[in-house]
Amino acid sequence: MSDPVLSVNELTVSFGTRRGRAKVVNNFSYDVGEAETLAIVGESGSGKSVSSLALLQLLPTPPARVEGRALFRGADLISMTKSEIRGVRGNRVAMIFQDPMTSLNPVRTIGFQLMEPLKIHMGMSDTAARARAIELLDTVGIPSPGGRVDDYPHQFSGGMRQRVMIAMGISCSPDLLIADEATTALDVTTQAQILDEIRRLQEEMGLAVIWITHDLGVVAGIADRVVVLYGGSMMEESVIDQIFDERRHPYTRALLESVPVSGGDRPHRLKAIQGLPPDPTRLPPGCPFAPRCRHAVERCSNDAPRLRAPAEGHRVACHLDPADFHD
Amino acid sequence: MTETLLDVRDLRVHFPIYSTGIRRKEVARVQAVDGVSLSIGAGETVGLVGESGCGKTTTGLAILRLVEPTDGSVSFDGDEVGNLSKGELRKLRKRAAMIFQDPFASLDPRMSIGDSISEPLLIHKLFPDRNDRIDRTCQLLEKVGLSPNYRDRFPHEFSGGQRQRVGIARALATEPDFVVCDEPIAALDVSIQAQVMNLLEDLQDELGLTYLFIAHDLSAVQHLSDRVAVMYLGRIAEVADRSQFSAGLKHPYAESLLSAVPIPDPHLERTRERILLEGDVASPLDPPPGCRFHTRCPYATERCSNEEPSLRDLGGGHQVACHLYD
Repeated sequence: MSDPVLSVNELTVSFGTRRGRAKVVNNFSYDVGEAETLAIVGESGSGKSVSSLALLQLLPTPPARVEGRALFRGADLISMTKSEIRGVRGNRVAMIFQDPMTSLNPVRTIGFQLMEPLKIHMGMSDTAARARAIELLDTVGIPSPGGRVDDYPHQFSGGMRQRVMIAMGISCSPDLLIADEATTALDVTTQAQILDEIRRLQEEMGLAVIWITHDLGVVAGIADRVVVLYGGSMMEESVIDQIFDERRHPYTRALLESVPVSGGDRPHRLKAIQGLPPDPTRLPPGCPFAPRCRHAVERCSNDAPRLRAPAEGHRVACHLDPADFHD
Repeated sequence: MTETLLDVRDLRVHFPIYSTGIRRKEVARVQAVDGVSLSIGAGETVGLVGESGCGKTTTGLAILRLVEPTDGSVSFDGDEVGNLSKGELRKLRKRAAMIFQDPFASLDPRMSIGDSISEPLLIHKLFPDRNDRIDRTCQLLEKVGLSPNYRDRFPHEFSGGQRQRVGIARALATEPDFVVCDEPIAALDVSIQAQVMNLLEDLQDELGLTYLFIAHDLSAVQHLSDRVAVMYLGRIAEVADRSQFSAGLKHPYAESLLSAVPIPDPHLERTRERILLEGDVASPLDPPPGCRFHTRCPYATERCSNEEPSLRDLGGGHQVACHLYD
């Protein structure tokens, strides 16, 4: 692989709470390469959103404390000054959020909001920015963009708004796009349209994408590589096929087994994961998944497993070998 | 098929929209549900799927008369729900319960969960003695996999999955025959969804419940249901049982909906053909004439834009509303 676009090293994010420090992300390290899609998978509270908000300095500090490094094209995002990060955010690294209704300003037209980054980051004139805004709306598949550019967010449907968010994200031709549950709020048919759009844009622009989601189906369709997070720690990282085929980590395995697969003709009982995700203020001393793990041995609850590499490009944090799994 | 418990015929729910001002004139109607027919046998689970805004929740609410139907008939165990008096309706709601989507909004934050669960018992005067009522509440909590000691706790002390269990316990308090489950797992985490789905299945086996399972998640619906009904813009497009579903859905909308569901298998995802729908769902304020799907349908002919297709039986109870299958 050539030089990665983003290289995150030992990222740790914690929050001060009345019940003590909540460690939400623990020593999280990963790389994203050119034109690559990295999926970060996890349940709510696994730290997947917080870790990416921390990259763009979008967390209020305090209460948050961010440690570690995140090299974007050689420059560390975490230690940048406010004005430096402002030059990167929305310009070279863009982010799309889950809820397109709350992330658009309801009292400004779509055009105004699309033109804003163009004028700030690219120094475009009003007329040039407006022309580019219309072009962008066309790129993301909004019909008659010239007529829609002066509409307000409430005049768009959910899927359309998410397309506008994508248009805003790619407006300054970023190197990296972070999509945080970007299709979760949408219907499956709309989701399929948006995923297609992202794939197309990625091919055209050579964009690197971090796709944050809890939906393993979406991951299977869009990702090149997958990182599985649980309780703020990385459980497994690998190229897409290995994650699904080998299922080396018990959590990955349990997650894949707990979703119903449509097309199976005989109803089988789902293998649910018992228990609840851990409380970040009281993380277990060993592996965060140990209390819910079917295969856990004594060692798992005392000794946190380190990431090891069973194969090239595959990292797993588990004491056990799949051969030890007694299903 | 077993005895029919619920029979819905040509159900319509229209919401009028009024102009502003003193003389509130009706200016339009949202045709949320427009001619839905569906029957559910005792002990059966029927899944109702569709995109947001297709009228699936309104159908569920109208069946229990939690919204007043505009037209059509709903008969529950032989009784016409539309004709019931207030007192009789209360008796119906003892036998037909509902589990709501949002476990955060459907529980009163100022009531302990024990009180929430025992409220239906109080209303229906089922366990007049306080201690019996408490026993029953504890029993219900255990049934849904929560500790009876949680009785005095409040909703904010629970996670989403646990709250949904409380909602299920409350729905089961009066020992209903029929439960409408409106998106019971949509708000839950992936690892918790399976727990709740298994619980619903276990309870059905144990108590002989009949479910109407409303969801947008086709794979979850297919997993739980004996029959699946696909809705589009206020109408049913297709009804198929488990084997017909696996053999392939027929209606172009049902087909494309199924093909849009992402499959957690990268090999399949790379190779399978996807049917991408163009555009958005038409507005239920002004649904297109003829087949409501014809504006987005890849196979639409002229007939589709003029003539409304009716549900026809393709054999074995497999019903499709599409001119392609005439």
